[in-house]
Amino acid sequence: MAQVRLEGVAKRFGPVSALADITETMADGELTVILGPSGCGKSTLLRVIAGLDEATAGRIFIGDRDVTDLPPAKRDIAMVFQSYALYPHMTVFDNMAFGLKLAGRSRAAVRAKVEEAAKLLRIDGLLDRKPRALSGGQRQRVAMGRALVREPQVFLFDEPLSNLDAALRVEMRFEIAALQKQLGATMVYVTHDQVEAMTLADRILVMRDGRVEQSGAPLDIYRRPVNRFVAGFLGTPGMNFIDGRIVDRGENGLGIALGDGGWIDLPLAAETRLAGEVIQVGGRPEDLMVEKERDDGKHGGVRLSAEVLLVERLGAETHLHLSVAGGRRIIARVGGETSLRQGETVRVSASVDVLHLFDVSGDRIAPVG
Amino acid sequence: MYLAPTLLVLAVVGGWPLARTIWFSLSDAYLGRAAEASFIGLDNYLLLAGDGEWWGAVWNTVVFAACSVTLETVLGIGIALVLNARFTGRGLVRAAVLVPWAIPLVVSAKMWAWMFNDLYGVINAGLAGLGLIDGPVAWLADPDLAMAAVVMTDVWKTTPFMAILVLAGLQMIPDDIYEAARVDGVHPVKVFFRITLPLVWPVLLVAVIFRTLDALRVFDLIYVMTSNSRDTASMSVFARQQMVNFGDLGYGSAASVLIVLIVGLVTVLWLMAGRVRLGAEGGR
Amino acid sequence: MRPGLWLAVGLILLFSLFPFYWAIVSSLETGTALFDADLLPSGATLRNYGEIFAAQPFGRNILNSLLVAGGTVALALTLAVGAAYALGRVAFRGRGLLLMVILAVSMFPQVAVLSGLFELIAALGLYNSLWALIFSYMIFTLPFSVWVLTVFMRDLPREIEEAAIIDGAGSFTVVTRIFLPLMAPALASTGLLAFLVAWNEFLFALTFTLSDKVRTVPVAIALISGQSQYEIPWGHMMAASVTVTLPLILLVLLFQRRIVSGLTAGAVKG
Ligand SMILES: Nc1ncnc2c1ncn2[C@@H]1O[C@H](COP(=O)(O)OP(=O)(O)OP(=O)(O)O)[C@@H](O)[C@H]1O
Ligand SMILES: [Mg+2]
Repeated sequence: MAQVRLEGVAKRFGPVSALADITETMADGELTVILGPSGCGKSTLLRVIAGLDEATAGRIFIGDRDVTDLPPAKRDIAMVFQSYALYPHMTVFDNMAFGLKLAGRSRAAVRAKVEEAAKLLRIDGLLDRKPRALSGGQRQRVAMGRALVREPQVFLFDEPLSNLDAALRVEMRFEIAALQKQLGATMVYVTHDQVEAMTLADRILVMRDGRVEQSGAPLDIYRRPVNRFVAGFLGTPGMNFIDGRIVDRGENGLGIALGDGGWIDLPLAAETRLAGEVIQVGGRPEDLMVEKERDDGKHGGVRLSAEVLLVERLGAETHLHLSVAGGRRIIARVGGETSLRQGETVRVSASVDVLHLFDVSGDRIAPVG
Repeated sequence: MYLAPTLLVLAVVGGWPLARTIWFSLSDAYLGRAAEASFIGLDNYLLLAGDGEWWGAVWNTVVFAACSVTLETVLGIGIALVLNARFTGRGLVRAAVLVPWAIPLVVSAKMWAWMFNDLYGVINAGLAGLGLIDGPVAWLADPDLAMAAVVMTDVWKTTPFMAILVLAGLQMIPDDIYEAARVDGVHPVKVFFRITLPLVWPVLLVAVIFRTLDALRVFDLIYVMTSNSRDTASMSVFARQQMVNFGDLGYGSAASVLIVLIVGLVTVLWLMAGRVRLGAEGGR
Repeated sequence: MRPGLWLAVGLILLFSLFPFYWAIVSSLETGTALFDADLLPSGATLRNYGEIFAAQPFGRNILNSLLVAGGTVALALTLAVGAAYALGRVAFRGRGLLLMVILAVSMFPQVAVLSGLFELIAALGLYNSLWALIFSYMIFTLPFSVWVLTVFMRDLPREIEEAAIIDGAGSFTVVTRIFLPLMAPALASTGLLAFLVAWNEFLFALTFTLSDKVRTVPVAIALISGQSQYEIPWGHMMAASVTVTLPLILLVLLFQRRIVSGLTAGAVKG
């Protein structure tokens, strides 16, 4: 196994810049998930690593080798495609054996390898079938088997589970995770499914428009997104944003005016230099507390009133769609048993240290949270 | 590179001979003495312009193409509509429709020539039996009738092609469109002209273009059925006769070049007509 | 509606099948029986069939046609697969234009290349040989094959090719081990059509061959003649016609679907 290192990798398709100056390391034995919205360059990044697309600039290292100019077959990688790309005219056995045969391995060696991988993936009963005669989940396994027998340094997955139904997706997700631990393999895994990303990844790269916006452990990214984009991209329902302005109240410290009477106390006495700045306040739905409006003066630092627009009861939890000052809509996630109803006026509060502040350009304002 | 052999072969069997033909057409080349030919400019073309036989051949070809393509299109659409209906044995009927298409053109020509035979032909016998004619009709000797016989044979032979293409086009139309029309109570004839025809139009256009080009360069059928007879000779028959039978390579080549130009022109006209028509459809 | 439909079906069948039926009837008759227009053969005999093989090198003609058509198919498909791979799979500038040019070649009227081709064939010493025919038939079979196979190849999923590349396959292996097997149906369609075209071709066969020994079936049939110009041996002619047509009809019936898909792939997707 080996790490993958990218140095200043860029990729252009004519005038379109699909990847711009990417420098990242995907550590040995880790599962790195590349996450981002459609068209952000995830597949392109994976294909550049695989050698299916040539990088326009930069170098790519696998282990200690510079593989930038090597063809895919020489890079010691294996790839699992979204459509599985099984050879339709070959049996499962031949699908898995094709690469080994081309590499000139002996018959016995090929057979041993394929059977071992098939056993691991529990498809050893299917070796004589053609892909047409397999279910989606079985095809998925064959595709993984084909990757496995190559014993590559790095596994590349491009949205491997997106063609499966929800239940199978969970099962296969579990199996990929187990396999990765068992083999200690280096894997690079592209998806736009956050749940997959959060549950599978040792590390996540969040991409946008051909750039890596943030990389790190899943919970770090979730808890400390470096900018508005990452903050909004991770989590369902997504983070809520409200415009505000930092106000210096002298003796009483800093606060954020949310317009229309909303207010947040800030514990940042030292940061008076921020005063006057226009910002965005972000709060995750599960971090918001919603209560019936009571005029008892207690508000835990956050004072914001809202009207309940819609109550979505999901059983275990309830999503409240709220209209706050200035008509902005936010979503709060509360318990399944809430007694709040549509049309009620409520008070929204939150503990200040779980809020996220972003400046006008969308970057996180460091000292908060 | 994988393309090279194909391009080379096509250049050799297509490009080079065409270039030679163009050169011959500008020269006084004769068969067997092509090497001694000298450049004579457009003389061959000028000569052609005044050659009644050539214009006769052009006229024959145009009449042939127009008649047979029109008949084939109408019949082809008709057959396709029938085949598109659901009935038991449809597969067999479709296969039967393909039979004429599979028969070599020369064989078709001979078969029909035999059927059209003035003394012993089954067609005369049938018509006489029905009391439509009182004496034998010399189908292939009479100029007008010979053309009719040739057109008839061509229609028989190539209607399957049209029918199969139109059928493919018809089968691409989703059923729910018809169902919607039925629910709206649109009259079947109107459905055909307002829904079916516009939807198969692209396929039909391609088929008609193919067939027109084919008909304009017709050779085998006419040559086999009526030999080099002036009354039915097509442009291709004329050109080959000049080149091979009379050995006048230059003159025949000039005719050939004109055929290429005419075919090209017709293609362009068809494509333009098709586009205009399609544009009108889209504009609605 | 129903009776109308059946009437239409009946007419279609009559129109499509009667001429061939009549040829069969005539081929089974000799002498004067041939000359009356009864719908059933009177005094059926296979004598005509015997005679065409005895009196003429008709067996030889059939063999020639088989060789020419087979050779044409083999050569056209071999060349076309490579070209289709390049045109359907490898992105390069001017690809669309090139495809149009290739297609345009098949639109050439045959007479337009007749003289140049004749000269070329004579120069290569191929005149009056089967090679001349195989070679010249490329002009209509090759563009068509390239076209259909390119359309087909373009529809094959790119990821399968990429999976093979990662498995270590070079472009030759990709073509032979992955694409060829996947294209089997398209190859069958194209091959059948090319075979029929080559089997039926007349003008080149008439012009580029001279002796009975190298003639193909269509030319042989066209040139069947009797003792005198006025005595055309219709019985022989019909027997020969039926002989060469029956296998074709069987072929067409057997491979109806393939042929239809080949025909429509050329036109509908173009
Ligand atoms: N072969 C190509 N030619 C031109 N542009 C391309 C090509 N491949 C990708 N692109 C462009 O590069 C950008 C990134 O594409 P990519 O396929 O990497 O996105 P992605 O993140 O994988 O999206 P998705 O989640 O939809 O798969 C897109 O804007 C796309 O249009
Ligand atoms: Mg992608």
